[in-house]
Amino acid sequence: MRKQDENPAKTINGKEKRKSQFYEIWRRMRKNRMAMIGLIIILLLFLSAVFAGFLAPYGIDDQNTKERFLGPSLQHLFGTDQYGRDIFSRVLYGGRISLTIGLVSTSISGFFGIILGSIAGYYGGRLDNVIMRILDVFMSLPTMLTAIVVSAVLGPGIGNCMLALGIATTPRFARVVRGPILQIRNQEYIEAAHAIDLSTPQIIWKHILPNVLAPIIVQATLYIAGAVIAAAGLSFVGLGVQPPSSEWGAMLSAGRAYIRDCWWIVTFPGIAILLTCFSLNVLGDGLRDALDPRLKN
Amino acid sequence: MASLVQVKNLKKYFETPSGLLHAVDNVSFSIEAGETLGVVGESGCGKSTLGRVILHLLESTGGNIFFDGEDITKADREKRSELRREMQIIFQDPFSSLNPRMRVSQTIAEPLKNLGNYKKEELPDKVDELMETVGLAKRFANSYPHELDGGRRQRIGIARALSMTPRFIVCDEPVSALDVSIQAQILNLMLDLQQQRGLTYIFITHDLSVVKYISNHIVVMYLGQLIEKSTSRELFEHPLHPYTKALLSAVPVADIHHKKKRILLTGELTSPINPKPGCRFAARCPYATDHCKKEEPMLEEIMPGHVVSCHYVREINHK
Amino acid sequence: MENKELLNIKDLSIQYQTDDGICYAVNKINLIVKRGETVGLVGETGAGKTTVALGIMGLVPDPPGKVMEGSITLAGEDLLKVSDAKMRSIRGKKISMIFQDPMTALNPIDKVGDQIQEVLRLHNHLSKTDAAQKACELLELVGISAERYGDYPHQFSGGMKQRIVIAIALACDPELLIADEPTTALDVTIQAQVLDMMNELKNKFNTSMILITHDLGVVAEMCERVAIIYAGEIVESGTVKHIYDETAHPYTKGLFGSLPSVAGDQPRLTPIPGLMPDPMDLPVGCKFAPRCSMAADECRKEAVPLKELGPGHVCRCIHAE
Repeated sequence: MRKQDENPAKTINGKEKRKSQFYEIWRRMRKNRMAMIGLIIILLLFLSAVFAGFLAPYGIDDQNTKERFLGPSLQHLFGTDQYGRDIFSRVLYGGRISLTIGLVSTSISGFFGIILGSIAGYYGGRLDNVIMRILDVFMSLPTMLTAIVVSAVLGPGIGNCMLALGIATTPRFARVVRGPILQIRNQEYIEAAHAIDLSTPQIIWKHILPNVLAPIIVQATLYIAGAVIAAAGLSFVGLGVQPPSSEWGAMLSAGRAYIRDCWWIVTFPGIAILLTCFSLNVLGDGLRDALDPRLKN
Repeated sequence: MASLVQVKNLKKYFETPSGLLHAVDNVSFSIEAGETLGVVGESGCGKSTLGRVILHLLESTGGNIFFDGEDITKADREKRSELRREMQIIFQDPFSSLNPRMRVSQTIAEPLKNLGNYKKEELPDKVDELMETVGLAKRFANSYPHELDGGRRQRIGIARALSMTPRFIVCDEPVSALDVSIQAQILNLMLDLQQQRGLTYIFITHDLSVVKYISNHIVVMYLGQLIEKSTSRELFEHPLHPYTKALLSAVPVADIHHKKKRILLTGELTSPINPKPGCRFAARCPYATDHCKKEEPMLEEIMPGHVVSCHYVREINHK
Repeated sequence: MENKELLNIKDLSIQYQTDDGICYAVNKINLIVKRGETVGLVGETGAGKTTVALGIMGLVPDPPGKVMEGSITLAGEDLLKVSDAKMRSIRGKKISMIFQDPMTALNPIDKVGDQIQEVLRLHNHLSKTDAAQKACELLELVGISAERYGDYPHQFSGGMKQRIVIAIALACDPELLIADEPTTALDVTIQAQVLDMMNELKNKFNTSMILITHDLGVVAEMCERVAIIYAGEIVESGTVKHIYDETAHPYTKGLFGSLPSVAGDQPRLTPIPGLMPDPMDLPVGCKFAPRCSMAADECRKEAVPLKELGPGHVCRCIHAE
């Protein structure tokens, strides 16, 4: 009741130019300090991955036997590994891989998850039952296990890694989508949409999905974080991304043997994973707070 | 005067794990063009289901629906699209009947885009026109529902229902969720619109004072069945069915000098699932006999235009 | 001389501090409730009636709510000045509250008998067996068979749930009962039963009651005195006779004019145009002036004080007489 009387001057043709919902969401996000910190960190990580070519002083695989096992210094900010490669550069390039895996695998699971979850949630009844029971079977296996199995079947490599993770997390995503849809489809505005003769796909696309977007986005940010960790896990066990690729998990795996004497080989990739996941989680929480309850007022 | 809307022996049953739920059971009535039929009853009487079945938002289980003389019970997809231009609905909850992500103008324009043949350029003017008709200031065109109060939201719902210039509107408790002073504004708006456009309404509500104000004829429902029907004035002056009498006597009147003989019903509503034989009101009726519990009463026209279903209606009302 | 006054609210003001500004929910309210009396607090959504109730119960969420000024004296004690512990012992024992929605007022995983018993053990320190016994008596009192002590809330209908809520509220024989729209969510015939029962109980135990509602019909049946609240202020108050037969304030008149009636013929309704002002942006002067047909310049200039029109009948309008 209060918002419409703000800024009465901004009227065009007698109609108030209302700020879009995105603006409102952004305004709320801005007030959440943790979320903003998360946003800044993930943006920095993202940018450093994109511009790794400019930022990295060395290449991914520039081996130099004379400079093996050097600790952090001005020439090698994060030190060097067992092959004399600059860890800072490898971490930067590794960001590309990890973030790509995170985004693509989440997109895959999002795509299939939204389709399956929407069908199950909207139609309900037997269709819902069938879809959810099948997904339940997959969900009874731990994500990592499923990913490992799929990976082992498909073979190593970044593409298969993303596919494996995407498939493994689809059931959970579907469930996340299905829940709000079950609730929304009983709302009167969906009935109203029927009353003006909209077809089912139109209803799902125009009325249901936009209102489910909030939980989907929040879940997606959390899943990206999870995918980054899972990818690290896969390369840790030798599946997924292969050397000499500098995926962070692979770096952890390779540097395991040298933890005691050369702590920097595992620590810096580890911190990178930590920061990515932390910032995504905090951002996800902030998004959830900014998107959900207030809009229902 | 031909009736615009008619239902004959309309039934809607739902299958539940505990049995068959008789939501609407053998209801018949007809509404003349330009008039309002009030449908009153308490929760579980099936009035909301009735409205939705008439509009094909729910599939009927039996019986027939007629619109403008034509049997539309088994209308196919194309016919239904056509009907949606003529038959519309206004919902009860101004909060959940609007998509929270759509602006006012988008909500009102949607039926125009989907059902009407308007060009894109024509839409803003049409929306403006509709907003003015329902008394919504133009400046709210770009607002979101949560920025407006209940009364304004309900006006959006009314504008949306009017957009295709329907002849018939099902009003499902349209003012129940509104404050008293806003209620009066919306009721007057609906009456004005009816007069200006010759609209026909089914007005579904549990609020007896509201239904009296707005209806020409009234139908009383109990557990899915139609138990009394008459003109509005007649129902309030001479309620015949014991339930109607109890219902009317239960309404608190805003007058401290009103002497009321309150008929208190005992017990609670019986279940509409697998209803037992006999009169469904017998369990709570102060006049019920064994006969009532065994045999279901039929609808009888006791006075011209006044129909009741009760075995002892004459005895109870014999002064 | 027995002091017949039970509750005395003086100049109570409550505000909510939000991100978008300050919400002036309650502005210098004065209200008196005598022993054994039922006072109706009538207003529409956003008028502040629930906030007043929460204020009396000490349940205003802080933050963002804050009691800015005033006193709430219950039998001589200022509730705004007592400690949290003392307030907790008063709540449920001396003052009880019934909320609007019976569907969510009861704990779904506890037996109803246990929920009544809980209050008794907490406040009256009864033993388990004594409390269970008393709980059975209370169930019978509100018209529910004591055999249903072990049933769960979902096994009862809305009306019966509300009776259980009332039983819990009356368990410790409170001096004051605050009922916030207790029958709004119920069907009319069930409402009649519940109101009837509340009247009986009220007379039996001589409990004072503040009945918060928007329904002037219910007020006519249940209350001795009425206060009309608008935009956080009392705009008119008096006995039911004053309010119903000698209506003074334009808002009250407008409310009556908005009511369709079951009795008699109904000319066209005369609703009040416009909306209640935003509590974050209240107008200077009379808060009802923007909607009032009698508003004059002097109405808008400064805040209007309460004027006494007769013994016990006050009205916040310069045009009233």
